[in-house]
Amino acid sequence: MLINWKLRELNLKVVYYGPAFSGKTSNLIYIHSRVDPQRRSNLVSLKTQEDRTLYFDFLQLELGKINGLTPKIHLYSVPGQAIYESSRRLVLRGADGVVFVADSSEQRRFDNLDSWKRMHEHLTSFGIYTPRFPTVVQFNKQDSPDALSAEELSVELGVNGLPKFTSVAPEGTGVFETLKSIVGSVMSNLQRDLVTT
Amino acid sequence: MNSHTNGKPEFDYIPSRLTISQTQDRVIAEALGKLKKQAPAKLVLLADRNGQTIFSSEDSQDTRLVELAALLAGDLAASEEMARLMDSHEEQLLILREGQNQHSYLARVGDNLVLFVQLAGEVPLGWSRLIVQEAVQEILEIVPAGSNQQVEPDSSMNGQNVQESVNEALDSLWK
Repeated sequence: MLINWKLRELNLKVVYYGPAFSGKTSNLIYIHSRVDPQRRSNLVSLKTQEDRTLYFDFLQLELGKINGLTPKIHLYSVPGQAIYESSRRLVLRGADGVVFVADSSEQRRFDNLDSWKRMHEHLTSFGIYTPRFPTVVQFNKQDSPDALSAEELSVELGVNGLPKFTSVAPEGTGVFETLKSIVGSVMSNLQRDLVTT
Repeated sequence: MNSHTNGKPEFDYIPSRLTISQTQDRVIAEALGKLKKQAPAKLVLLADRNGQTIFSSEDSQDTRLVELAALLAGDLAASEEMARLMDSHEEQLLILREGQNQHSYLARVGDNLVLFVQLAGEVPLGWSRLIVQEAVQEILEIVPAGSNQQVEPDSSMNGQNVQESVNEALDSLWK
């Protein structure tokens, strides 16, 4: 988070995290396609030759003033492939909030768990480990033939206390709701700090 | 069960937060404006380690600075990680890209910042390296390393329904 009091500008970092092929990049592509071009950056994607995320995807959104501050939201997604653990950690560093994008397919349940666990290990290593850290869970690919329900996935990941959304990211279902939730959560967190500091 | 609550958290959440005051903003602009003129540089960009721009000044005015800042931060993070893997991590890191028509420096500025300077090919490398290093030291005096700060108290958010405001702000982005 970067706060520039001269410009009354608030820069926030939100990271989309999750296992390979869960739809992290699809979320950013959909957001990019739906936001007024005057209010967003281009979508930056560092990809492998096979069109997989190599390092990160990046998109900035510029919101209108909220209580006198202009928030700029920096959205990042991490690479999902197992070999890029170091890169995931680098991208996650400095995040103000995370969206955990799970793959709802039953076949991917262990990949979700492993990714969730690793994400928490990274956050803990940064000194972040508390229910106060803004986290939103998205159960993506609900259109998979073997998709588990939100209830089943919630129990499996142990995320009952967190905001959760079902989604089909390429169609946009649940994408905007997830974005609203995580930005609101990060801003509420900041509000608490600003008021109590 | 919420996995966050499995066991007792060892840490409370301490946000990684950098605050730039009005005075710091002005002094940074003066220092980097001087650097740009002295070098002379085509582009000077200072961002935080998450790629959030603090200062920029360029000749062409057509660089996509938001994307550039994010990539520079990623570049520096990857370089530092490589150094760590090779057991050659150092506090000071200055990366030179030398080209025929132009070259550039990417410098670590303490724990929080990254400085990028792009120069014409005819600017001597020794000279440019020296003034970039001087600029790094100057910025460190303005924004000391490890100076993640508490936010200043601000009453403007007091009592507001932030989620409602965020929803309205995001709704206005959606086309």
